[in-house]
Amino acid sequence: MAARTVSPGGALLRASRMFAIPAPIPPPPDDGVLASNFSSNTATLAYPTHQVITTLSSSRKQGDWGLKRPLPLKSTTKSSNPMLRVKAIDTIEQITDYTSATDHGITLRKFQELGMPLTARRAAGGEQDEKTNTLNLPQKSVFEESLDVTDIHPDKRAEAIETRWKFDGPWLAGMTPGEFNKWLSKEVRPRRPEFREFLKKKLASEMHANAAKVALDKGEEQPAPIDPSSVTEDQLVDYLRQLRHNNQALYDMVGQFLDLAPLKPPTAAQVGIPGSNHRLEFRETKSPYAAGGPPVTHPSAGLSYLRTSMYMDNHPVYGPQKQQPPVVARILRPRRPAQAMIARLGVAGFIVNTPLGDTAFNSRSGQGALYDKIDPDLDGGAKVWVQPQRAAVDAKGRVVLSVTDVSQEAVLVAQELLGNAACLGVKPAEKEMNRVETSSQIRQRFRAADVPTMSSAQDYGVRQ
Amino acid sequence: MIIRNFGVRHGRRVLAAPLSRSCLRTLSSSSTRPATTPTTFAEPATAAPTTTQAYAAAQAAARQAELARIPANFAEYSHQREHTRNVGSRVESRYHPDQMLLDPPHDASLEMLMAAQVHMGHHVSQWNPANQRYIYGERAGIHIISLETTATHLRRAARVVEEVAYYGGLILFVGNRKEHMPVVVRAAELAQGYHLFQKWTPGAITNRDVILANGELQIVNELDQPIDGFGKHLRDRRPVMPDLVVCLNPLENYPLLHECGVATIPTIGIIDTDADPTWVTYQIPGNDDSLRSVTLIAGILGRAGQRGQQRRLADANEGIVTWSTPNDVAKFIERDAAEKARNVAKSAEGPVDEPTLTREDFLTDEELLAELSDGPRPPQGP
Repeated sequence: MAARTVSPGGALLRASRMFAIPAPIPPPPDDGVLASNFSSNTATLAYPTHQVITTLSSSRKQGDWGLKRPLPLKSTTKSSNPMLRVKAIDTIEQITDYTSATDHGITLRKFQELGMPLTARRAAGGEQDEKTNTLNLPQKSVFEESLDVTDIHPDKRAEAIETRWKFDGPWLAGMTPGEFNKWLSKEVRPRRPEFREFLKKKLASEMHANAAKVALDKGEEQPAPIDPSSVTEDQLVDYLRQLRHNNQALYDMVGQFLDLAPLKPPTAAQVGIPGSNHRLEFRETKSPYAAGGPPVTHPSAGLSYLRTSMYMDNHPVYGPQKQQPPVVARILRPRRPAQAMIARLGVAGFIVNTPLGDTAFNSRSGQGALYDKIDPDLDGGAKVWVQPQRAAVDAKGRVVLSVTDVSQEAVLVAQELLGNAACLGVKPAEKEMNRVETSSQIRQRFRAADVPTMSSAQDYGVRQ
Repeated sequence: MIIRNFGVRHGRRVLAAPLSRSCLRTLSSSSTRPATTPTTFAEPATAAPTTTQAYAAAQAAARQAELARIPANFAEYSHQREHTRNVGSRVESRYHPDQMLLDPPHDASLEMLMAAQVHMGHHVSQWNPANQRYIYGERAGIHIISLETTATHLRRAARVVEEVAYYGGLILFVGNRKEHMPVVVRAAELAQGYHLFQKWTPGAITNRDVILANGELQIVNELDQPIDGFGKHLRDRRPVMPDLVVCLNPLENYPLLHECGVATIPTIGIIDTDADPTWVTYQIPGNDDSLRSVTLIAGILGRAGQRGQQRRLADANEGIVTWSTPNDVAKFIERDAAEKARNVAKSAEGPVDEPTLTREDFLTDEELLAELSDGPRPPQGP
């Protein structure tokens, strides 16, 4: 079919920025179940739901944001970061509904300043969910081909189940019993005849594969493919009986048919002692999203498009640095060893758990006292230097950051760049920069032109 | 530093000087710096002046030599400037928020209209179904006004403004939101019309004899030069009405538009999706809330008025008068001329007794009524 022709004005409108604003996505679900969770209308959402828009300073002075009407200057010109999210271009009250979007805009800017790729970890059969503590296991960029496949042929979707992050069906482990029953009755039950057809197709291909194998062994000609319609009801019933005694094969069939998100096999404790009738068998999955559920967006969440953090930071004076530049973190909650509570930090706008193990965050001596209580005398709270290590997005769309101890040298170099400290090596460079030439030295430089001014063979080392 | 000014600033001396060693060092690949030859310093080893006179003479000679170099230096400077004038890039400003106000275009392209947010209508629940033919679709909760329709209607309205200006009509630009002030003033300035950025006094057309009683009037000729000798007429005549009203926010100006309708004055208005298009004679469907949209539309109408005025004055210079004298003024001129002729004849006859005024010398009631009911410029018969 030929493309529908649009009027010139329509084509212009389609290419316009107003039409390019994506529809808002649903906000993260409220954790209402947990009584300990406070919910606030003004709290920053875990992820942005609206496009952030900005404008030029000259236009902002006139309230021009490219919208239906100029926005009030009083509330849009105060901020030094012109960022807004527009909830409605026009409402029934004839106003534009907008709020400041600096929260997510600046967070994105700060995150990009960290220069970190977003990673995912292929499950190694561990017990723990994706948390700051488990992040330290080896990880891969979410843009690697083994994790990020979106363009799949419909027939090959079953094979790519471990390299995908997007599934048509639900993640069963994340459903409540009510949701599960509703889904079962509304979506699954009407598809029973379709599933029988699907099984017939599978059975036909299986039978053909067996026959082909036998023929190959006997050195005969390959048999023709079996038509699924030629599979009899008796054969299908037998196949169903087989499947009912093989839980993994049955799950594979159902999972392929409904395109279910991969599930982490239950632990021995969850399954219980094997009963008298038969043992359940499970296969491990390699999908990183089996334990926590598939992500709501692309696993990078658009925060960073870097594929690796294996690059070196080059200092103007000291050259390539072993460590990436460390960052300042705010101590948001002190640790309480008695209640087994670790300290919480704020890094680049994200809440970060301090790592477990033998780190400065857990030491009792030295700097450790900093983490023990909040000192109200400190302006803006206590801050520490940390080394951001990895970042990932969990199934709910939240960013999970991990940090480690920072080397003293890296801190010193970073402090020096800020002008808060002086290192040993910077003195000669400073001296060189601030050197005052006397007039005779300058004259000397210009008068030295008696030697050939253009490059000579000697200069190039051709003739000694 | 701007490279093209380098030679001009520093003159030939710097250009003639050898390249600095520090520059050459970076070009050279040899690691060791070539040994510098011992240099002799160029301070002139002047022989000790025998007398102060000789010294003064030398000084004067040096000064003369220096002065003699000035013309050559200046020639060099001029030469440099002439030859490096076109060197380098030119930074042009791409977008200026006030551009549409200061220098409005003669016609709006679709891109211009879209950039000025003309296509954004109101929330879909606010629409007036009479505007359905102007609406292209619905997006993000608002109606989108068809850009082509806006462009067509704007062109038609501009044509109306231009012709009204050409035929010497009075054009009134009305926009009484706070930010409309510079917009209507600029449009009126271009079209040599009138502006209103405050509240319209209700009755300023239908009851103008009372409301505008103290307004000043002027009689001008075809070249817009004021003519004397109409004091008597100006004292007696009715206040004028506009011949065309351009309204930037029709929704807030219903009394004005109604009075224009009563007085059969054509109106032009920006019709947003919530406005009633029947309030105005010539609709321009568009966004009336955005400052940019209003500025663009008013600017284009102002430019159209400017074109009309220019055409009218050009024709007037060639002796073509595009408008006809209004009836009341024509009658006054006639009567005035007759009176003057009488006076001349009287003075030729010499002083005689004033004839007593008879009933025929006064206007009858019918004549008076006919004179009062005439508009300022009613259409002339063929």
